[in-house]
Amino acid sequence: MVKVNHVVKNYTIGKLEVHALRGVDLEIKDGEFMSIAGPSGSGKTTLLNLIGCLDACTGGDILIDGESIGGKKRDERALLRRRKIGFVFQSFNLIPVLTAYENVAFALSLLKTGPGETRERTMKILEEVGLTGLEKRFPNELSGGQQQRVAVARALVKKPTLVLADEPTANLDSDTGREILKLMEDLNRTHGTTFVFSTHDPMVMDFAHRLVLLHDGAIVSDKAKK
Amino acid sequence: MGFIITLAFKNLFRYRRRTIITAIAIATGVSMYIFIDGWLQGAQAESVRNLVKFETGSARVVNTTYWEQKDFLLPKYDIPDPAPAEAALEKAGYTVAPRVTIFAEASKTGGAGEAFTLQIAGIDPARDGKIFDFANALTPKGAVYLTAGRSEIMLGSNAADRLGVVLDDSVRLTTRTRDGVWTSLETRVVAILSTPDPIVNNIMGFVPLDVLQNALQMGNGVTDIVIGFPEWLDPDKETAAINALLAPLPGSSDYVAKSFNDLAPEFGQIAQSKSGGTKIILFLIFIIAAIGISNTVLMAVYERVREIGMMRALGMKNGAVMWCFIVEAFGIGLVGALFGVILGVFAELYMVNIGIDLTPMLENMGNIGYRILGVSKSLWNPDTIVTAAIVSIIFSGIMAILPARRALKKEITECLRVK
Repeated sequence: MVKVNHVVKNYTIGKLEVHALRGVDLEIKDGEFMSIAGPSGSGKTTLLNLIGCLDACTGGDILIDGESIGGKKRDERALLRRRKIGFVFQSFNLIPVLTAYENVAFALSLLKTGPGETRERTMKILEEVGLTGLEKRFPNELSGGQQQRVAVARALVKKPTLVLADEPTANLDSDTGREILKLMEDLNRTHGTTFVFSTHDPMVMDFAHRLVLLHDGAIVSDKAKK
Repeated sequence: MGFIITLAFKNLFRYRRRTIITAIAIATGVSMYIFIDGWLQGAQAESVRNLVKFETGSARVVNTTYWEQKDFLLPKYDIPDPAPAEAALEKAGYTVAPRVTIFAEASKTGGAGEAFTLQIAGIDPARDGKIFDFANALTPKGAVYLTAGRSEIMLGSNAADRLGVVLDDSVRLTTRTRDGVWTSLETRVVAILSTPDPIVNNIMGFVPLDVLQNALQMGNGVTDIVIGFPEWLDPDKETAAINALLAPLPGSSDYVAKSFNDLAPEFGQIAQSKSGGTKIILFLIFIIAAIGISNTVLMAVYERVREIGMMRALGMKNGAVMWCFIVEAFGIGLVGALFGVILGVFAELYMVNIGIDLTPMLENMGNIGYRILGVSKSLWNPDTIVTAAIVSIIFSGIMAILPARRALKKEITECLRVK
């Protein structure tokens, strides 16, 4: 369902050209729970951004459900992200003036879902991530783990085909990080949603069912673990 | 749109202090606009009323050459037989009063004081009172209106002060007759006029028409036929109608009707330039409000770069993100406009019903164009109130576009990297 075909990404910083990805080929099947790992500067966040249509490739192409994202315009990419891709960020990125419920419902408002369905789906996903009773709390009234649960709920409420998580446990202590990974694994199993997360944390790598290792912008290892 | 409105509303409270400060700037601009405009409209309306009721009448018929040389007010350029024109005008329903208006040197008889040039009008006491309102401006106690055939004078209050005369004093008027011969006229002060028109108070005196006609050897000739018509009629249209009415009369090519707008052109010019000046002040007020809004949104944009990146990453289009900021700025504009209207209306409530006494200030300022003295009041200006509110709200929204665009120029990945 996600096919990365010889993707190249170069940046220019001043007069210096940085080769972030050097011809990456990757295929991510539906329902996978995989991790892209590697040291800092290996290109994992860049690859995630390209798969998530947040950035454009310098060369090569990416196909999501057979649809090439290379030639898409800015608004078309936005629509694709809105419908098919959920994001979980390292620093949660919740809107501080909205409650947990409103932050999750925001993803559905972009899809113009009716109020009844929005309420039903939002409450259901909040229950699944274990936040029943905390719907009316604002982000600053929640712990880091609870905030990341809201972010996971926001990513999943629109039933995306793919969830991209950029170092989702980096801002959490190890116990809470493990809880979040367990939650994502459960949701992967129950919803069949594909999860791709970047990390350099061995504990996170342990959780992944498939581990792709990047080094200097190229895949050096791709192993199925479970 | 529902989400955008909810988010904008909540963001208003997110930076409460900043919202309040910006709203206060807008409220100040709106209330000042309402207040100044209402006051100007009030001053303008009051000035027109005083101009017509004490100085010019609604219109006048004058000799064409007298009009061309109006800076000299020469009696030789008169209307020798005003009767046909007066009859035609009265028949058409206008109120008319003949006058002779000249310049004369005035001095206190037997006094050692200086002589001053005054504008002296010879008036028909019976007919003039139907157009002008001097009967209500007579001071002090014991003052009486002019009587035809008697050598009497009513003097503007400041003119009387300058001459050092009081009731029953004698004033000598020295001027040239119709034929240019020097003559003088001894008059007795029967009234001091304290009018709301500073021009009348400062430089005008009134004597009976027949007395002045005799002194100037004018026979039945007059320099002006003053015309009165209701104030709701358009003065320029009405004057054009009067000119058309007089056209068939013999010798009509020698005289012309002029509206009060023409008779006191400096009033119109000064009022216009004041209005222009006020607009500049108001423009500056709005610029301050605009800078406030722009700065508020710019700060909000910088503080929410990562949030903007997240919203865009989740699939919100750039246009929708921009609307978030525009609606937020609309909200600030709305709060500012609301408070501005409330403040402005309260200020107007006071100014319409009570007003401010400008006498001490205006008496010392000479001719400032406006014909107002005493208490200056405002006029209600609902159009201005609505316009000020709507413009400030729309303006606020527009001022948010530029800073919001700056945020959208950044790539999403760049926004998400911001700490």
